[in-house]
Amino acid sequence: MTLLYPFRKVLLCSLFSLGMLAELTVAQQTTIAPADLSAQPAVGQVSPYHPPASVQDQLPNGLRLLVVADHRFPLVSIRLAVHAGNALVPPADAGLAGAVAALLTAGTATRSSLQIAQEADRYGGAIAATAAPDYLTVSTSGLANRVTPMFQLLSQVVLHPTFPEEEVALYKQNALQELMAERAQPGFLAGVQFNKLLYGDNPYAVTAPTEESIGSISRTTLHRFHDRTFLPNNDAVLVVVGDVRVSVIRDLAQRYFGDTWKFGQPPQAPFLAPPVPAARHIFIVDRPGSAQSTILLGNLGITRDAPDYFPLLVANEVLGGSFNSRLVADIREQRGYAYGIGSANRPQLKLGSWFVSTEVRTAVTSEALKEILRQLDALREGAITATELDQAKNYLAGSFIRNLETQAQVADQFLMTALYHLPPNYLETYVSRVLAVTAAEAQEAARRHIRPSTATIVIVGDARQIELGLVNLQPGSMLTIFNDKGAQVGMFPPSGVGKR
Amino acid sequence: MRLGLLTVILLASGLPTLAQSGADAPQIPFTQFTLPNGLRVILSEDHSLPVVTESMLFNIGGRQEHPGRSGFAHLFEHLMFEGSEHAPKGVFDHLVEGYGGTDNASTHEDYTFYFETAPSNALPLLAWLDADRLAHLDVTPANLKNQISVVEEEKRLRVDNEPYGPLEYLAISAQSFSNWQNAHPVIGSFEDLNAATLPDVKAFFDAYYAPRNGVLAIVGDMDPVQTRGLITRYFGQIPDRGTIVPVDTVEPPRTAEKHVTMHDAHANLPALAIAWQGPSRDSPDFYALTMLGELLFDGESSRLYQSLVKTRKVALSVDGGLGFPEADYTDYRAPGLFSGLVIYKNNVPRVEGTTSTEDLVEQLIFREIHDMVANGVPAEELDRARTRLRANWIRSEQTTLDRSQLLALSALLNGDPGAANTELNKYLQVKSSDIARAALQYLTHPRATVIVDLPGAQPPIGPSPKELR
Repeated sequence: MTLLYPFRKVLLCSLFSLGMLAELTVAQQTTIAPADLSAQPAVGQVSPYHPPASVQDQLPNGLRLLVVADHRFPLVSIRLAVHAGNALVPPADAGLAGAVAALLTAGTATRSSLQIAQEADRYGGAIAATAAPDYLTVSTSGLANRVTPMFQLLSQVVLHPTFPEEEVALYKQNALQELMAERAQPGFLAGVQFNKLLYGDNPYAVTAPTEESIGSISRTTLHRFHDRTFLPNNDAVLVVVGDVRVSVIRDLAQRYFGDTWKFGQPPQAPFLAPPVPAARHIFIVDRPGSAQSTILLGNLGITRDAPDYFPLLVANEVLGGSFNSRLVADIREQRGYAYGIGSANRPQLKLGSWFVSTEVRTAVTSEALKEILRQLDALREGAITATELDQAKNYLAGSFIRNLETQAQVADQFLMTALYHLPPNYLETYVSRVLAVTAAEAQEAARRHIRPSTATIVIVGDARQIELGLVNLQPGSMLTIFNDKGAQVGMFPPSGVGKR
Repeated sequence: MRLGLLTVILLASGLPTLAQSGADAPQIPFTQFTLPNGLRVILSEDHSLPVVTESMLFNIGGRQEHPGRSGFAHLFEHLMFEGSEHAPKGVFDHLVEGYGGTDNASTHEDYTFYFETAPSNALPLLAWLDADRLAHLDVTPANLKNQISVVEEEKRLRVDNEPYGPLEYLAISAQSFSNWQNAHPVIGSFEDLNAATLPDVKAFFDAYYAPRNGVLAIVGDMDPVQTRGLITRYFGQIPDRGTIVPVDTVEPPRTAEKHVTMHDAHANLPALAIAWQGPSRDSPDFYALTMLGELLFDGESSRLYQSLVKTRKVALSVDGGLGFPEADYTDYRAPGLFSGLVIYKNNVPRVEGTTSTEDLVEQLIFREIHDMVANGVPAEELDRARTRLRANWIRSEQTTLDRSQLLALSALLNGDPGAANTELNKYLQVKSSDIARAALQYLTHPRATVIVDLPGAQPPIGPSPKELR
């Protein structure tokens, strides 16, 4: 075969010629003996690591300020969060916090949505907000020498949104279409159903809007939610990380979020106890023709300040927190059922959850579930070996350091410590707390917080193909079948199978 | 839980800076050398965190596969983690993660990229693991069978079971290119994957994983002099197996606009993809089309977001640019595509002068392109795009992994890792007239491929209908 494409020919020639030049220099040092590949090399001590320094402050109106001077790159990352997440919204208004987040940047007293986007362009960034279960966070980043315009725009968006009529109408129209598009995603269907079943009447149950709740969004409901929750003393935090001077940021924070932002009475979120399941229950969300089954299995979990948070972190790591974990070794590397599988803690402000998630090919759905449940039992009843323990702890410690490479990562870590009211030395002591966990502590945490016998199991897949296998998996298990809109279309026992 | 007005200084560890000059972005310092066996090595020192990345890039992607073996480059990437003579199956991840690191790999149309990022004390281990798999890869029949299953699940997850997956990962290439080397998907077909044999694995390894076909980049907390010795000891013993003869990827130019309709069983909303063949990377048009892609698609102020989503309210999302969807401008290589993907609404009232919503979407895309050709790009708009590109460039230099990939890709695509420090300026130099010229030459009706992807479970029309089920 001949090489006809000119660019590639030029490229290969240049690679070759550079190689020739360099060969001459290496050839002069011919004394280097090859390493013995049959021997694993010795590894030295881990270099000490300290998270970057932060300066914490609080404005008279209650706004907390956290600044990290990080001069590695001429950038700055800003986060402003308030306690205005989805869990503060009643189910009938599901999606309202998300709508406020999306529409904060749709217009202010002095700027249109396009002007807001263009202004962010000029400082080299974008400005956007997201609503999570607990908090609503506005994020932006840009070139460090344009930090003043960043604060200007951020304060307009946070304090003076106007929710223009036409933008709200378009948002609602698109949200209805997006909801339809998301219902095509098996992961979306699984997550919505899992949280609903796990949390029951608790506000954490609702993670997606409905056609009705989108329909009820209006300028009035948006303004009301914004007025009620966007208060500097509503657990609000401003985090600034970047190539900046702390004194400059302190002045900017005071100028743009100080006197002009009045404190008030923060809303109280209702907290209703979630259901306590008595038995394992499998829920199928029917997705006819699905090439895979998406499995989400778990139970209620813990918060970040729980005494056994770190032991559970280590136990989870052994089970399914990394590529080297038991679940990956078994389900992927041994059996080839899935491309990926993992388990995780989701520690929310008041009540977390713990779950395993994977996508397996349709034909092995019940076998895969059976194997996952066997692994959960083995973690609770068998022993965590010394090797597994070290492995899991080292991976967690290393991951923590690797996840502080970018400014955005540093900002998010400091934001997390502030939002979840963790001790000021949380990041500084994270590695040592991980390394201090013993096998007995990890196992105890697993027995307490990983509960396969009463797990909630959601499977999005082709019900016709998987239901019999699941019914036979464990006689006596409850099985309920939903459609993609969450309506119940079948159940077992006694009457469900084959009714559709 | 107020902290009060007390200022708390937690810790005083200074973070040192990368070399900064009057340049548009911080310069990445590096040294390079080539081992006698042909392996090119790039080292870049940075002690700001006790972290190091070792990455390997091989000049082999889906395009170099042979008919009947589609998906093999990617399957082989998986096999590189399945064990070598002195580090049998499981040991690679066990050691990398056990020392606190992480590893992964990705297969692209033109290259395959491997990396490990770990606490810097683990560097000798990373060198040993990578050298052993390059010198003594050991694939058993059981591991081959296992990874074929895993890759099949990857294809089901990313392509078959994903709305718009068949459009993005199969149809755009299949319909835009006529040379099989370019038209077939990197993920391959189940039929071809299952046909893979151990002799195929060995032949592929010998041909493409020769040291002369690779680039090794090490970035982070290490001493370049010591590391040079380490790399020479571990990788120098791999035999020189010469260079490969590249396959013929020449693509005949398109002369008439092509329209295709397909059905997507998992999508609930329709989508339109449009693609044009792009220029070679060393042409001025490459830089012009990169900026044009930014102006059309990047962010809420972009032309197509404003036109399709905000003003005409026909679309939910727009995405695209040079290299999209398989790559982006940073790893684009000819013959590549300039593409766009628009997910649009299913309830748009008919607009006069159009035959359908998809026709309206296509007309609106061409309207913005024609406007840039006829009226140029206002200086203020181009300035904003430059600022965004520059800031994004700096953002993408922050991690040791990002920098190792940029240096290695620069060596592969530009023939010089130093391009990591000089290319940005070329994008920033693009003028309105360059954009108009490139648009006029490349983004024309006769060169366009337009694919409409309709929701519904009808028999799909695409590259390999059997697999879309």
